[in-house]
Amino acid sequence: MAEAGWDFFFGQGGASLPGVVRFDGAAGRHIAASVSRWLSAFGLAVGIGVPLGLALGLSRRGADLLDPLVQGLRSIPITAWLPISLVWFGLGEGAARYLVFIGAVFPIVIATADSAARVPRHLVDAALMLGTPVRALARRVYVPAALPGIVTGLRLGLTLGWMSVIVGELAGQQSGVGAMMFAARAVGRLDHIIVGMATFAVIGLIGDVALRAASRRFVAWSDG
Amino acid sequence: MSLRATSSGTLSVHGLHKSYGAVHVLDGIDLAAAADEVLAVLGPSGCGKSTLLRLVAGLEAPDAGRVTFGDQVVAGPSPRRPMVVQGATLFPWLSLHDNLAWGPKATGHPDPSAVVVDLLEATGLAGFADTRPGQLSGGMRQRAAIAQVLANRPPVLLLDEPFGALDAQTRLRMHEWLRGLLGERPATVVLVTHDVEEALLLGDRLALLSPRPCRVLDVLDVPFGAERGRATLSDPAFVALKADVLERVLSS
Repeated sequence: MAEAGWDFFFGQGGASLPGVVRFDGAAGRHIAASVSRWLSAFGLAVGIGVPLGLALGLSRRGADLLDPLVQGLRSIPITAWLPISLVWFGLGEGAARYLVFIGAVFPIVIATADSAARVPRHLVDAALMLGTPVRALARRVYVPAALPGIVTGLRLGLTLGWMSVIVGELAGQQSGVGAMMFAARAVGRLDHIIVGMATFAVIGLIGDVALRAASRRFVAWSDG
Repeated sequence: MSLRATSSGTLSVHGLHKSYGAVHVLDGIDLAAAADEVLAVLGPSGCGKSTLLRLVAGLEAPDAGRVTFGDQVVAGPSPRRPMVVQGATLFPWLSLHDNLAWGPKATGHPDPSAVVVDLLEATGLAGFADTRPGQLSGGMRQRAAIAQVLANRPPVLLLDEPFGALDAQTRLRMHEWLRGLLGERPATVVLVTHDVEEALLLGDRLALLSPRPCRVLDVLDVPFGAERGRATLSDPAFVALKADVLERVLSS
């Protein structure tokens, strides 16, 4: 197993058969492909999920309309999105990123909406009585006050997005950690599969640690 | 200061009614506070004092009646009529400096930082500009919350049990501090409290409210001068008035 891991990262390529996703020495390429799918789709999920969550959390009518839709959609397992994403995007990068986006966006929307709706009324009143215009409340009060909850949603979304990467790589990718694992299964290399799983674990952990480190400065006040 | 000269006037409430569902909270309240007067509003817990203050602040609308300041009818919250409540109105993610600068920035003051430096000095918080509210003591937080709204130089200040969460010694220090502060920066103050001692130490006049549904039982002058503090507490006249007012609150 350790040998397989060594080969994945440092091995000299050329050992793989034609038509099989390369393993030896291909770690960099596979990881880069997976991480790029992950982060680009996560970025999109943040860009759409946070504003949508704020709209849901701040508007009763918005919540009444959109909440059942969001709750229903997020009950669909990520693998159940695979067929339709193949129909929409075809075999390729679009489908993979779409699946990661679906995996990441719901926890972000729900955590943002929930924490925005829980912002204490007295903080909003205080801002109004200091002369803050109503249109500035979202940016100046709701977002900063809800930020600890939003960050929790981002952490969940980041992890769920990473877990969806492998589903996205079922969609006929030639590179990516998941693609490598499916190729390994086809040739019965259990050691390669386990190296892939370990790679998922380590990179997911690194992502979470990095996100927490990046957000610590902004949410330190909520630690008391 | 030029702003204040044109903005002072009488703060009045006329025939104020307010219900929440079947609960009749305010039942025709009439009160007035003259310019730069401290009106203490004393009533039993749960009688609707806080509701009254929220209506004066413009945070809620009355079912009937109106609130006026000068010749204007109150229609919404304004930096000219800020309310400070028990506990924190400070923004917990901002430093004390940024909390105090919020108002002047929002109202377009040319130099918010100068206002903040002044106020930190006046409130004895000069060393804490970079501290977040969560790291301050309860008394410092309440001083900072009052300083935060004073940064806009409001002609009216609404205080809802501002020192209720503090221990007795700290509360007495805060009473003395607030009297001093209002001496330097006069404002029309409505102070809502259930604490008779607080009402008599801070108020120029005292309005007594009934239990819910809330009515004004009486309004009396508080016959002590500007120099009130811990020594006043043992003044026989103060002790007698306190006992009298307490009896009227308890028997209402």
